[in-house]
Amino acid sequence: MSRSSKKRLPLAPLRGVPAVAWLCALVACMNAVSWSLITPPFQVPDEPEHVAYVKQLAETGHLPSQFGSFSFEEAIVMEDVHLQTIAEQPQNQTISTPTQEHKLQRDLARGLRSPEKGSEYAGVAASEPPLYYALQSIPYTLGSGVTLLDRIELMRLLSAIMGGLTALFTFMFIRETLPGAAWAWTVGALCIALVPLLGFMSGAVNPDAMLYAVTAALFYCLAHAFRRGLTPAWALATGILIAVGFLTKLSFLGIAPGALVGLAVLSVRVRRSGGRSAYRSLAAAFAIALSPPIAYVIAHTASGAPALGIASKGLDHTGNSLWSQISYIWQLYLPRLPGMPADFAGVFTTRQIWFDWYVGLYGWLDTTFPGWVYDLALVPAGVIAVLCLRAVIARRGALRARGAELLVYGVMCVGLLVLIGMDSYRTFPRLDAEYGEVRYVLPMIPLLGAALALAARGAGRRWSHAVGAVMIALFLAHDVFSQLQVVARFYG
Amino acid sequence: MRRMGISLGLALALTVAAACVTLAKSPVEVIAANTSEQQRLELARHPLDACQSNEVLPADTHAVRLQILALLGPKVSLLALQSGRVITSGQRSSGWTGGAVTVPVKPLSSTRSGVELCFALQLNGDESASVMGEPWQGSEAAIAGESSLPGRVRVEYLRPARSSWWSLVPAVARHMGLGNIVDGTWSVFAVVGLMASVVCLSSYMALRLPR
Repeated sequence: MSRSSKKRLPLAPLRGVPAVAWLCALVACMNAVSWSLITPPFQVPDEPEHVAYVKQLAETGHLPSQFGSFSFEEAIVMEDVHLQTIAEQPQNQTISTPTQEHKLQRDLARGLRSPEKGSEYAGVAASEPPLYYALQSIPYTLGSGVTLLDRIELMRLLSAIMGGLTALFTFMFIRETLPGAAWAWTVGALCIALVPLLGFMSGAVNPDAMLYAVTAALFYCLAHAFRRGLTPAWALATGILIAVGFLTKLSFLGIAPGALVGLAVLSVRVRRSGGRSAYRSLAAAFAIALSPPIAYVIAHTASGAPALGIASKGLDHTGNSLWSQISYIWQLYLPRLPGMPADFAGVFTTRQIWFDWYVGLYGWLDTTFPGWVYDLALVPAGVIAVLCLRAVIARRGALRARGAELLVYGVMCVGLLVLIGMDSYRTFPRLDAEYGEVRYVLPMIPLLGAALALAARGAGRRWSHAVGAVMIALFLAHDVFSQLQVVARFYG
Repeated sequence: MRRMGISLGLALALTVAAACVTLAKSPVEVIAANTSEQQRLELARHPLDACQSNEVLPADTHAVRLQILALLGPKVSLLALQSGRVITSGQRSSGWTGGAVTVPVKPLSSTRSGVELCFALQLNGDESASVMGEPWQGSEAAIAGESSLPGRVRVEYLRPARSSWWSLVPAVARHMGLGNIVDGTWSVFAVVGLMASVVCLSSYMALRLPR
């Protein structure tokens, strides 16, 4: 590869990443490692299934299925740590006697000696694409001589690194979107590094951790291209990231359309400025980006299954009108409008699902703060929202000029929200909001980082740095108290 | 720089003070429970008003925990009656989630027996909730309207423990070393070290924000 082509590589700017961005990544990584140590094994939503997926892939090289049962090694550990009696039962804590611990250690050793390979069953995880699990096979295999719990910790550490990458790319994204205030990049990215839910999810075996990092990188690529123009190399990098997103988690299906629209808009801009090769780059990027879903459709069609596999379930709402679906999705996030049926009567979803559960809901959705904490959290959240709004109004001219870029981020965000809504609607009314969990919208966390950076700037020239420092302390406090709450719930 | 340092210092001092106050408080402990069984008795899809008699309400009960499973829990109202007179009551607003709902109540100075415990689940629209407890036939079963539930709802009575979180730190640290992802108490020191590093690094970065 020649020197000039090396210079054009989109990874080249990573060599110029400021030290402070790496420090943000280090903070996020250490925070996630801390979460990985305090969270008991399997006490993160669907972690048993994700571990089973890795076990199957690493030990047999085959994909798991939704049917069957957990492997002996995993099942016996889940029984010994009392998973069934602790999950969703906040009154029950983890095992606490030396006798229980001895039994666990004995069974961990038995599991290690078990001749059984893999875990055919991976439940809800079985429908997910394999990339995250393939990566997790590396620490899993490296730890093949140690117990299952040790291997889970090794896998959690890889997720923690992904948490660090999320903070790093959030920093880079904010740097591209708000280039005028270098200090605000640190405020936004450091606050994101300290978000407790990011630490909780990145301290677990869950493909969400990788999805956050991939989406943050995608936001960075798009922001870079909107600011500096789309080169063929950046178009390809964006296409590769979209393909990686497809291979990471099914929920990326909601984010991808916005990213593809972004690529198209950027290509049109390049074409207007005389770049004849713009559409060739776009075609190549689209081909790379869409290769995983195309391969998926071909494989499913060839095997006689529905073309979109499990993804088609989200579109199948036989017997329900489109209006009732739209109405449900609206109400999942926002207050009901006149003429809509009351799908969440008595519940203010914006506040009670999305705000309160962002403030604090850990474990198997069973670890919460006392009720007054959620009321108190409204105060700083309100102040941050007002400061952000103030900054937006002050810079409305600049924002108007970047309408297309904002529209692309908006489409990515709305796409994900609609996908979550459609999936939740499948089980409604049996379950109110099956996927009404903040972790599913956390891929949009770089946008929160930019909003926080804007909020700090909204405090005005005199106070902006002080407000930024207070915001960092606020997120730090939120993180520390969240960890204390988890410790109290499981070990108190 | 000075203003930033003062702001950060004050915010961190406030956080430390809040942590100290929190740790000086007591954890909640279960004083009594009416059963240890947790089977599903009823899947409520409509507003449910139920009462069960012969409960013992211990003195100093600060909260009552009902075994009700919901993804998006409804508003819960609770009444404790003795000889037809309300002796304490409480409410929990909607939006809770999980397998149990804790309703704070006004504590009583003495233990009351023969208490009738009534609760109302204000389910709206398509909401649902599973009521858990011990299967029970006969007059002791919980009564909802004119019919009986197939058992007694599991109820736990809670109060703040005598000891503070501070005094429980060694016990919590030992507990963290059992059945956890990393075996042994050293993980506690690792967590403390990691979080201390996170606090120091974040504070350093906040103080060194570029102009």
